[in-house]
Amino acid sequence: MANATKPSHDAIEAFALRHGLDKLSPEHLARMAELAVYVGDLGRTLPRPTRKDDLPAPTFSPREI
Amino acid sequence: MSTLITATLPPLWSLSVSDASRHLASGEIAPIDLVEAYLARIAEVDGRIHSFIHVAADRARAAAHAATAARKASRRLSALAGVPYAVKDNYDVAGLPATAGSRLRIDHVPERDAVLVRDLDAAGAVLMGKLSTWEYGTGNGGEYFDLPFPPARNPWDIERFTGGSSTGAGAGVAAGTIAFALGSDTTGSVRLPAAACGLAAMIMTPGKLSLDGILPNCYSLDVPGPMTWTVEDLALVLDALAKPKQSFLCAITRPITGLRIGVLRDPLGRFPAPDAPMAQAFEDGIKVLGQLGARMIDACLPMPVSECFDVTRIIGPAESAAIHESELRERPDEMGFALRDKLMAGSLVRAVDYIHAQRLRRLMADAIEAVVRRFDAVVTFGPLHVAPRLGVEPEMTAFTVETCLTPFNLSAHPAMVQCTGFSPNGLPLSWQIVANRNDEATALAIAAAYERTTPWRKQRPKL
Repeated sequence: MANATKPSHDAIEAFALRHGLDKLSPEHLARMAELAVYVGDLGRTLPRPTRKDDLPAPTFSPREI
Repeated sequence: MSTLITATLPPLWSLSVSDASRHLASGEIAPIDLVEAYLARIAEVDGRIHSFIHVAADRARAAAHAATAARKASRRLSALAGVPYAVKDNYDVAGLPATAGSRLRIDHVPERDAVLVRDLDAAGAVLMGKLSTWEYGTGNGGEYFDLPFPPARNPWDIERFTGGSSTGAGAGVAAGTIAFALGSDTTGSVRLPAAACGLAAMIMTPGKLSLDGILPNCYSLDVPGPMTWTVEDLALVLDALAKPKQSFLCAITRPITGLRIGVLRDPLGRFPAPDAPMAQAFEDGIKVLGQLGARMIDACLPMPVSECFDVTRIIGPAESAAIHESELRERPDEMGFALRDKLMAGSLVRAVDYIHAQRLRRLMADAIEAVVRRFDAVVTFGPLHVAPRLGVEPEMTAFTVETCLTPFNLSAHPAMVQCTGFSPNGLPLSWQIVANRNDEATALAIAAAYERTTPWRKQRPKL
């Protein structure tokens, strides 16, 4: 799998707008484009459990009332 | 308080919680004496270390008088009755600002107390105010000097960092601006500042300390934790807060003879070896425990600590981005660089990768559990480095990232840090003691035995 590439300004702006992040400044978007490479590589290189029945860790717990 | 007694006691701000409790119980001092001593100490030194965001002086004085009245009316009082404490500013306290160190919440005043605050109030402890924190109780290791409050500074060297994110709690307990503090920990935010500032601190098995009323950072990893000067103090605070109720104070008197303690020296993977003074103190500590009769047995983590950290780099930002989505959408300019960076990164995490990270977390937790359960407890490093110079990269990031703390957040084991001495330039050294799930008592017993045998609690920072 290829390394993540830095998205163009237009691409990251389109991503941000698609996700409701319409108040990010051009500087924020430039930083987000850098982060896209880091996050993409991190996710891509994360080892995958080999068994399909390896469940995620739980986050639900009954609420104390 | 009489002049005679004043002359025979050390400065009241320097008393441990347990000593303060004993003096209160005997009537040698009154709660208001302690409150005034801490207010004076805050006035004297907090301009240099910035441990507090908000000092609730009037509220504390009123609570002290209430504690005195309760003491006169009742024979059975909590050991914490009349003892001052403070909480990280991501805890809710009714009627007090809860900024979480952020412009985004500068006017936020909760209407009810966090459960832990409520429980300490019920125990008669005296809340003195709210403590400094990295914005929203999170950070990336860097210090960007772009938040509404100045960063807390390490009392052992005010040019150095306290460790984050419970920055004010670390600074305050070490400097004596507060007797004990509550922080919160996702991947080390209680243990890091405690280690860097020379304190004792613990995260318990998740669920034993309530998160209710604490601003979430990461739903699946957040845990609260108390920070104290001594291990006995830690036991006293946990006695008041942990559920189900248990006497940790009794546990810390247990001998450790015959305990099987695993020794995890190597973080494996890409993290570096510990700083030399940290490593030497670790080896010295192992000898001490051996001399106390524990069986010290070499052990090995089932995976590099750095791989555990990588998993949290997916889980943490993704969950934070979900929790604080509205702030990133509506007010990105008002947050500091570190929080905005984390939320933008979290917004980019694919759901597929998040789920894989949570699956890996379970596998890692199982593998770590398989190691820990072979022993009564495990000792390992906390941070690998001494406190870094504030604002100096890459020292700051290395200090925050390169630790052995994260595996035990993932694995849900109780884990504590304590001071193991001082570097040649006077900075606190530390180690981490990890116990089996729901067996915090054993970690506390080991730490208490070590503390009784070593001189590290005799030295306070000079400010």
